[in-house]
Amino acid sequence: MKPPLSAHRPCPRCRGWVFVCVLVAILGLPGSGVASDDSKVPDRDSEVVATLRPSSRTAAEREILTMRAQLAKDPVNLPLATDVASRLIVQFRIESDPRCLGFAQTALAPWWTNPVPPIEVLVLRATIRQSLHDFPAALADLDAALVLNPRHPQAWLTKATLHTVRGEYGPARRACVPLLQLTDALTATTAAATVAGLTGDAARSVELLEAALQREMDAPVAIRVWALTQLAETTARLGRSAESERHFRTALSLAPRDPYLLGGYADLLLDLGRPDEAAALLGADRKIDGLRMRFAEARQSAGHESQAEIQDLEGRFADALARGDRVHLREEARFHLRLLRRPASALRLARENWEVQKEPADARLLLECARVSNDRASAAQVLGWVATNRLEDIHLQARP
Amino acid sequence: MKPLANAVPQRGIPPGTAGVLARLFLPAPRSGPTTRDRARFLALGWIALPCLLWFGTLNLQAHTASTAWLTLSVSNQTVSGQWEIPLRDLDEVLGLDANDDGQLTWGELRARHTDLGGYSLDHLTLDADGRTLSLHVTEHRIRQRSDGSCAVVRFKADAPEPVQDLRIHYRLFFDRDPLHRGLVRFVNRSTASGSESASASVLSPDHPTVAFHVGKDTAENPFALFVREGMHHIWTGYDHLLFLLVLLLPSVLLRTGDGWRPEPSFRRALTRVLQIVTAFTVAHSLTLGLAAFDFVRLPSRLVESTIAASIVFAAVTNLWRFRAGIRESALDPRPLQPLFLNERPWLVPFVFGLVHGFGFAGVLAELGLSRSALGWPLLGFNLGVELGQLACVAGFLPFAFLLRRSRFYRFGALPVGSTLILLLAAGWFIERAFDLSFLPL
Repeated sequence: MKPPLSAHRPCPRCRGWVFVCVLVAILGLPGSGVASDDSKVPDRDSEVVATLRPSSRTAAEREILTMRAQLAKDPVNLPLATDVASRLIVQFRIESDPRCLGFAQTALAPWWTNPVPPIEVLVLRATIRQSLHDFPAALADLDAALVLNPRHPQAWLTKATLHTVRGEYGPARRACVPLLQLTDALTATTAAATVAGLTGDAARSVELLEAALQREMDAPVAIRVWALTQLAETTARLGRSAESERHFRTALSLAPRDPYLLGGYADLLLDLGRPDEAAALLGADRKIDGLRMRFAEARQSAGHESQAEIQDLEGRFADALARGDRVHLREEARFHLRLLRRPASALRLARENWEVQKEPADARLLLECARVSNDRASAAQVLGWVATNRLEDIHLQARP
Repeated sequence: MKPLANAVPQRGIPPGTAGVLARLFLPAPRSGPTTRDRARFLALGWIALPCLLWFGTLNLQAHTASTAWLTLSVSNQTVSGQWEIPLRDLDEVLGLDANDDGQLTWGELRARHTDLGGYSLDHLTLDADGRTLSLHVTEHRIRQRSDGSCAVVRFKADAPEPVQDLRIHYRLFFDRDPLHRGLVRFVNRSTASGSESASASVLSPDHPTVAFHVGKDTAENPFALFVREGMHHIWTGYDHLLFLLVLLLPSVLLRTGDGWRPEPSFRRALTRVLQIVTAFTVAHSLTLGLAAFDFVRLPSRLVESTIAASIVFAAVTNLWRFRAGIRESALDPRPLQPLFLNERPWLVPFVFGLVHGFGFAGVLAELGLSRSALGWPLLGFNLGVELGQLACVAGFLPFAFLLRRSRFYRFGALPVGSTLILLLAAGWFIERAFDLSFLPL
C-alpha cells in the first residue's frame, strides 16, 4: 500500500477522474430514489407503454432472430456463430444499436476469451472491439489474424481503417498495399485513396476515386456508398462544397438511412450555414444520439427553440457516463462546445478524445475547443499534427 | 444477405489504377490471391464488409447500450428495491409484445407480470450477512427514461436479523448481452438523523458482485462520514503518521550535553507530546481550511514531495541528535546539535504541518464537495484526522515511556527506526518529485 498521493500520477489521475465523474453522475441522477421518482401505473390497458421498434421487423431482422435461436441450441457451431455475428454487426451498422454488438459477442462466446481463436472469430472480435473503441485490443486481434493468414483481405482492410482512425497513416498505408492484390479494384482504390486524401494528396485522391467509381459500375452498393462517402468528405475538406454535396446526395440515394452519411451531410450543411436543410434532413431520426445532437444544433443555429432536445441529450450522455462508456467522447465534446456552451469541459473531453482517435473531425473539434478556451498549446499541438501529416482541411488552418 | 452473384470482384486492378496507386504507395506484392482466400473472403468478407469498412469513424451510437437501474435500501430487517429494466430487453427474452406489432400496451405487459417478476428476480441474489434472502415482488410500474421505457419492479425481502452487510450478485442479461450494465445505487437512510447517503456501483459480467455495509443505525450522518474519512486517511496515508512518529520517538528522551537521557518525568514527556501534536494539528488545520476554501492552491506534486521531504528532515534531526549524543563527551562544551528542539519541540511539527494540511486538502477535494456546503464536512474531516492521530499517540506514548531507559529504545528504536523511515521517505520523495514509481509501499 502506498500513501495516497492525491493527484499527480498520470494514469490513476485519469482513472480517478472517470471514477469521480461516474460517481457524481450516478449519485446525481434525478429521481433514482425509491420514494421519489416519476414511475407510474397506467390507467388503461390499451395505453402503449413502449414502442419496441419503429416498424415491423425487416426480413433480415427476422432471419437473425431465427438464426440466433438455432445457435442457442448449438452454440459451438462455428460457421453459424460467425454468420450470426457478422449479420449482427451489419445490423449495428444500420441501427447503431450497441445491443447488436453485445449479441454478436454472445454468438462468439465459446471462443471469445481464447487468446488465439479461429481466424474468423479474431476478425469479428477485432471489429466488435473497434466499435467499442478498444483500438489496441482490436489491432492485436487483427495482427494475430494476419499471422494465421497473411492474405486475409478483411483483416487488412480493418487494420487500415483502424490505423487511419488513430491517425497512424504510415501503418495504414502499409495495410492498404496487400489489398491491391486481395480485393476488388474499388475496395482497394477507396482504401488507398482515403489514406492518400488525408496525407497531402487530396486532389489526386479525388481523381482516383471518381475514376474508380466511373469504371466499377457493377461494384456492390455498399462499396460504392463507401467510396462516395470518402469522396464527399475529401472534397468537403478541400472546400469544394458543391461537389461534396453532390456526392453525399448520390450516396444517400443508394443508402437513404445510413447514419454515417446523414451525419456527414448534416455537418456539411451546418458548415455552409444551411441549418434548416440540415434539420429537415435529420428530422425523421430520433434514435441516434449523434444525429439528434446535430438536429439540435441545426435548430439552434436556425434560431428555433432547442432546450428540450438539449436536456434530453444531456440525460443520455449522463446515462452513458454512469455506465462508464467512453465511446461518445467526440459527440460529447461537441455537445459541450456548441450546445451547452461549456468551453472548459468541452476542451477536457476533446483532449481525452484526441488521445483515442485522430480523424480530421477530432482535430477540428480540439482546435475549436482550444481556440474558444484560448489554450494555445492545444491549438499548436493540433496544427503541428496537421502540418506533419500534410492534412488538407479548410477547417484546420492556422489563423492569419 | 447472401453474397451477390454479380458482386464477385474482378481479379487484380485495372492497369491505370494500379499505376497511380503504385505511385502513391509501395510496390504491390507479386503473387495473386488463391482461390481459397477468395472463397473465404466471399464467405465472410462480403457479409461483414460494408459494416466493417469505415466503422471506426462511425461514432454515431444510438442511445446507450442496455442498462438497468437497481436502487436498494435497507431499514432494519427489511431490504427494499426498485429495479428499472428496459422493456426492449425484456421483450427480447420474454416475448412480451403478444401481437408482435412493436407497440407494447399496458394490458400486454400486465398479463405477463408474473413472468417478468420471476425472470428478473431469478437474476439477482441478495445476501444479508451471509444468508441469501428470498425476494418477492410488491409492485409493477413503468417509467419513461431518456433511453426508452423501463419496467419498474419493486420488491422486498425480510432478513431474520437487522442487516449489517448486504452483498449483491447481479446476473441480468449478461448471458445474452455482455455489454449490459447494472447500475446499483444503495441508499442508506438514517432513521435517527433523517439524513441519507448513497453509494453506487456499476455491475458487469466481469464484476457482477458488490457489497454494501449498512452499519449499526442503518446509517451515518454526513458529519460522521467525514469524521470517518479523516480517520481513514490518517491511518492509510502512512506519510502523516510516520512524520508524527519520527517526531515523537525522541519525546520520551532528553537531549543533554552528553547524549540522550531518559526523561524522568512522565508529565514533561506528555507535555512535549501534546505540544508536538497540537502544533501539527493547528498548522495543518490552518492550511487545510485555506486550501479547502480555495484561498491558496499549491500543485499537488510540490505538496506531496515536500511532505516526503519533511519526514526525511525530521528523521535526520533524530539521527543527528543521536550521533551527537554518543560521540560527545560531557567535557565537550560545544552544542553541536540544536538543543532548542528540547525547549521548542513544536517548531518542526508546526512548520511542516502547514504543508501536510495541503495534502489533506487534496484528499478532501477528491471527495467532491461543493464549496458552499464545506463547513461541516471540513470540521468533521479535521476532527477525524485528530482522533486518528490521538489514538496513535495514546498507543505509542505509554510503551515508549516504559521502554525509554532500555538499550533497545535508545540504540534500536530511535536510531534504526529513524534510519528506516528516512530511507523510505527519501524513496517517496524521489518517486513524487520525479514522477516515478518503484517502491512497493
